[in-house]
Amino acid sequence: MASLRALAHCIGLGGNFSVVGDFFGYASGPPWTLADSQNALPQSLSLLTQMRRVQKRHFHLNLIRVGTDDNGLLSPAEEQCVDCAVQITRDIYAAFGIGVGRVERWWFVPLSDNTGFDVIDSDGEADDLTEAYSIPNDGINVFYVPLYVGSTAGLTPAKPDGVVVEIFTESFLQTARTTGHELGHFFGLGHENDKPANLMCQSSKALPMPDSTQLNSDQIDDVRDADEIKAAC
Amino acid sequence: MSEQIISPERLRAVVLGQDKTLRRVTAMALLATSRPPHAEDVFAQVLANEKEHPRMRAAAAVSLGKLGTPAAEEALIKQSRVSDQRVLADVAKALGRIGGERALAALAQVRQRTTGLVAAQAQFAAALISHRLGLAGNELAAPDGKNLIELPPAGARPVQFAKAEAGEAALSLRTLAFEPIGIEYDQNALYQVRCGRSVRMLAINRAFTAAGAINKLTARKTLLGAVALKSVETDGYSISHYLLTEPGRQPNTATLLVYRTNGTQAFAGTAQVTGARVSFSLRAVNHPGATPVRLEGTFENGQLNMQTALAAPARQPGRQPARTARPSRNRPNLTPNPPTS
Repeated sequence: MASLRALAHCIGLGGNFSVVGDFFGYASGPPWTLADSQNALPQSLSLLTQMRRVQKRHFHLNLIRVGTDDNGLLSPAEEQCVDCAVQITRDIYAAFGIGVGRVERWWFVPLSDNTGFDVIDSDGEADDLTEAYSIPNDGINVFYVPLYVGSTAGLTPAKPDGVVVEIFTESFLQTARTTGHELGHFFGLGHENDKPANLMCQSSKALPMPDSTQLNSDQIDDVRDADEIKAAC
Repeated sequence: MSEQIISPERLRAVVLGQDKTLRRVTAMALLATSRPPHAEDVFAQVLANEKEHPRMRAAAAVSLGKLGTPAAEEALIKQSRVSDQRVLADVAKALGRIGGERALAALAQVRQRTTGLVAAQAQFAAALISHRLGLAGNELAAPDGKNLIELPPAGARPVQFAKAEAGEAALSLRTLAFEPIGIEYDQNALYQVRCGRSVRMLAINRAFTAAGAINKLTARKTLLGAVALKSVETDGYSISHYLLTEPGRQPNTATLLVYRTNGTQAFAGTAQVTGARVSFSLRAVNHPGATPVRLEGTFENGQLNMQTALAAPARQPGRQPARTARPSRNRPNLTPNPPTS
């Protein structure tokens, strides 16, 4: 196996880096104690597993947290929810042989920017958000917002602008599923509402997590063919 | 969560925070779309409650805007003196969508005593109302020609305009009814717009599609229509842009102004009215994330004909979000990292 340093370099990390903070891209690792329940949440991280995952095809993420304080932080529960959601998303896509590589964790839009984007009032405003911000790298932008008013908790307005996901601290699992689901839309997948175990089944019709994260072979092929999927390290 | 029918009583209880078995904003959305009697009262209660989190109060303001009733407008006007700026911004925004002349007076007071986002939202909200009602004042600035982006010479992709099929037209009207902006759309003047993977619906205000009505563009300000984004998630449509016009400086002309829902001026151009025909051209206004376009066509007797409809293959860069270095482990609000297994 390639060395950790070589793999880190492959996913775009240079110089000195932290394993949990940079190679995984988390503020903190599990257990994420501020979750309402630890049921089905990851309880540990495996460096070896993550190294193996980036040696398969993978994609990168930019996490843009909206509505932070001026230090770039949401509430502790919201920060843990984000980390947990990304780890579960890693596990979901790894089941299909696709890794999540670099996670740039520390992008933010503070409340003091006075954009109003911390409360997304419609899909149209979610579209405004993804148009308004961009990051000049090859990661997929995931905008984590504290509140998305409506019956859905996420949106993928259009490629390549990114996805918008509500941080739902009442259910870390649901936030994770929404992240994985919206990324599925980003990769071009449509809904599969007659398949309650499928990741692309809308949550109102899907089985409870963790039993609704499957993709079929056609869907997996579509994801693998997406432009954002990088070659194996 | 499996699909189930939820009673209005349970929805009210969830919205008021008394029942925690459902996501509160989901309940707000369901209450706003099902519209049981006195739904306004529930949202008004949350909006007025200073002990509520400001975001939840803001969500209540949004929900009142989606009801669009006189009682909803009244509740929003009543709360236009709230002190929390995050709440007030969404109160102003909702008033812009559904308010009338009384709302204009409330918004003027908001503008006088606020700055930043709230003042900007109040100003844009007042402009929306004024354009919808054709009132003087609250004009919007047409961009300087230097601020319009020309399409790059190479790589343009087509923007496809097509009359909406009956099913899609009905879907768009049905879902847009949940985002009222005080106008009625002409069901025969709905055009689906496709560019890349994005699907939108152009919906024209039926007050201006009847024979001869288009001449009003040269005589008064208008809220000519809206562009709505089709959601991959819900399949429904949600307004992404407002189409506004103001009489032009030259005879028989109008200035076209297309705004995003957050008040960002996205596109601008001119329209020439000749009899029942409007010839128009639109370009993108320079702003973060702008997509350069060249859109030219005619609109006559409710029929849209595009002569040129092109967009750049990519948007201009948006603003870059702020970025902090990874905080140290000793930050008080982060748990320490465990050893990896």
